[in-house]
Amino acid sequence: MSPLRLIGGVLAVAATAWLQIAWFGHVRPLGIIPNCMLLVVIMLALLSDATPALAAAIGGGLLLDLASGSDFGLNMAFYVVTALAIIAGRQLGLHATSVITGIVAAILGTVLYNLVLLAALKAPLSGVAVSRIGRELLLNLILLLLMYVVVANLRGRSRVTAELGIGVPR
Amino acid sequence: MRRNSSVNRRLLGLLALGVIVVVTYQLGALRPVSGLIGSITAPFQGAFSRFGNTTAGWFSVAGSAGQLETQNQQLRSQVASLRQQLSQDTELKAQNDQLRQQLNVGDLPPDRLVAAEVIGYQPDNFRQFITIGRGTTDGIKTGMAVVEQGTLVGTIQDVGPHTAKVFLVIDPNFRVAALDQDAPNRPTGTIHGQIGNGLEMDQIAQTETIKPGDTIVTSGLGGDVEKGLIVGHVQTNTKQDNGVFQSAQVTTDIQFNRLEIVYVVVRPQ
Repeated sequence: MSPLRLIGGVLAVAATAWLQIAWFGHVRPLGIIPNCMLLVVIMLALLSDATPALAAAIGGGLLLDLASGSDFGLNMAFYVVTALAIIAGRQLGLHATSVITGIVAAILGTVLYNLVLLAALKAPLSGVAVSRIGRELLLNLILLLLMYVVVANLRGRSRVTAELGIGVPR
Repeated sequence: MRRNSSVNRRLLGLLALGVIVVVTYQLGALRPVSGLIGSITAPFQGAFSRFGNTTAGWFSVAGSAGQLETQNQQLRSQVASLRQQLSQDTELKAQNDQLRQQLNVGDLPPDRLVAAEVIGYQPDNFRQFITIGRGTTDGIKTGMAVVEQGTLVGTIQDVGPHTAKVFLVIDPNFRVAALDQDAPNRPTGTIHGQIGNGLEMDQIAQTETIKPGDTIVTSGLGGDVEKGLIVGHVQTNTKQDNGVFQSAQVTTDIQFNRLEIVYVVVRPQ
């Protein structure tokens, strides 16, 4: 991996963490903080190589754990398991580039993440908790689709760049 | 084949790194590093947080323009009643000072309030913490109470040199001893948070009379939180015929996702 891509990746993960901790913490659309880092990990695990996906899971999880007040390591552990599960799925022939796969991964990830949190808090799955998980799921899916649009745009642009030979040494 | 084993080695290396980080943090060895990270990132986090607060303000103004006039009238009448209460309190304070002088009891040193900017929130929807931009260098210690508009926000859970984490009163695992200021016997109980931002006061003796609207304040028992900080007001209470205790739903005036500046209550030694 080139140093530029590495720096870009680190900055992207840090920006995602700050977005989730500081910006969405205040704004809370539908009264909820979406799990942006989970979506970044899912996207990387589906569309990129295994190493950057796992590195993002560890780095992003660590940043969120440092910002959390309890259960240090919970975010990191969950993101690592998510990334490894998707990587294993890809090795078994999972159709990773399909949007449907991303949506299914986001639904499973969001629901399981919140169930793990409730278990850590020893709190029951009440109506309020289900409503919160439902709203978070909705927000996460909207953000995931936005991410797919951005990725498709970037890929389209890089194909055009490659076709025109811009930046390619002759 | 060779490329595959190199990727596997990299993945195993990353996993080992993750495990080492978690274990060393739990052992406390990473505390200086996390403090350093907190100090470096606090200004950026503060900027993000201020931007978030501004944009959240736009959304709420757009959504609630119609309610502003009613709210304004309510606040005006509240200000009038508080002014009256303040003049009575000033009179009581003067009497109290006179009595303390006659009994030869020295003045109580006033609590010092340290203003702190909220720079981060717990990144999930069930646990309730905030990060503030003040730490040990400002005299902040674990267990100190944090207030906003005289109402309890939470207590300091973890302190770094320039940042601290506040355990919010609305977290399901938060516990603080409280009493009903307006009930005849000032009954005590325990306040704890509930998922959904509400508060519940339980372990109140069944024989006590609690009414909706009563003010709940901290009782100062069994902890570092001082007596008399407002927690909220009773909304409803639940009494069962065969129960030993009754419980009450308590509402707080604080909008926990709109916190910008909070105050840490630093008690003089």
